[in-house]
Amino acid sequence: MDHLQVFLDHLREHHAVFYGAVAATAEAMPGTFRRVGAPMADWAHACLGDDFARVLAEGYVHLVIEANQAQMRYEKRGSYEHRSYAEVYEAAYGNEAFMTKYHWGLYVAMFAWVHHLRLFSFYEREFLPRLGEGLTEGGREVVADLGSGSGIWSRFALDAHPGLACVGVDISPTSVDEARRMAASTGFAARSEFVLGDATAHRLVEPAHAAISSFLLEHLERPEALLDNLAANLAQGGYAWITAALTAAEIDHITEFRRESEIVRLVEDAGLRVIATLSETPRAARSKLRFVPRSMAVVAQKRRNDIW
Amino acid sequence: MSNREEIRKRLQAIFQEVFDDDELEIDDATSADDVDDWDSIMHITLMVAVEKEFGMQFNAEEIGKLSGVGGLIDLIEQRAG
Ligand SMILES: C[S@@+](CC[C@H](N)C(=O)[O-])C[C@H]1O[C@@H](n2cnc3c(N)ncnc32)[C@H](O)[C@@H]1O
Repeated sequence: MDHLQVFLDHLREHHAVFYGAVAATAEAMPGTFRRVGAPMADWAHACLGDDFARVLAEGYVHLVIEANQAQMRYEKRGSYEHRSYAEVYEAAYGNEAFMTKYHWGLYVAMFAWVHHLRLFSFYEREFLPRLGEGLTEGGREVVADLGSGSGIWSRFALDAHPGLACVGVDISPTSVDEARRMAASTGFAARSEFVLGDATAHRLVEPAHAAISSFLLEHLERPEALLDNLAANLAQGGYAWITAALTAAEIDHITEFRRESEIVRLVEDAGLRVIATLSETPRAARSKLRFVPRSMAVVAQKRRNDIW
Repeated sequence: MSNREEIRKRLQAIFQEVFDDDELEIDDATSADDVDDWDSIMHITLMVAVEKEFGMQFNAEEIGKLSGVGGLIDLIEQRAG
């Protein structure tokens, strides 16, 4: 069965207002939309059963509403709502009902938002091929996924490289449970480990072959602590994939990045060499707005010394 | 004038303002398909304006299920009643 189509039909029938933007994404990037969305819909079905389309659609609609409302308040106020990390933990990461919606909403946003698909194409082009370097046949090199959520970014890395295993670290018990459930229901349990922990402090037993941290930086009071820990967990010469949101308010965004160079600088200061960057805006960004939400990706490599 | 009709009139003024179209006429059967630009972002803008006009708040679940004017009037009536 075409689970992606089942999801799209459900969205159109039950949340018509939210369907149009997803259909526009499918039309703008048909190949990538299918390449990302079809396996993701299959995995969600394997994990959630026949109710998967409802769970995905409700999560997605919830995320879009919350994000757009927060962005409108941000546009008026001129700054993020500046909650402390402890408050965000209580309202979001530690709140199971909220987190379940958020988890599946983000999962859908991976293929429903055109700017995320563009980041994904960049990931396929600039990051995944580099992971092949130094991978041994039958070996078990590890990719660390810090703030893993559903673990979807590392999952695509595992798909591309059979010799790779992942260790995901997330602070939310709900996300860790859901990520484990999905790995188990899709035959990836042996190559995936998800641990409950703080990505700014958690240390792997051995440095990882590669590291991923997608959309966690802006959630922290001290984003540099995440990048320092990512670098500490990465073997010398290992590659990193880091993404962050800029001028994009959400209830759990704390650090407001305004310029791409701020992120590049943080990555460099953590001991990494920036290899490639991409910054994308959503399709619907309106030019009269002061703040346009952007998503940025950085491909970097752990430096051998101060210079390179 | 019935309560529903009064709500519809007040909503019509909001729709005209939000969608920047003084000619826009709405009734119970009007859906997102009938109004150009009624996408997810305009939907949130619309709902913020409706909340302000009617002095009520809707949660994400209520906002996420709406797809037309009839449902919106039902929701406002329920809340006011
Ligand atoms: C926006 S989500 C991104 C999830 C995933 N990386 C993705 O791109 O789909 C942020 C994730 O970071 C987690 N998180 C927040 N603070 C964290 C921390 N200090 N350590 C580890 N995970 C954290 C949240 O629970 C959430 O799952």
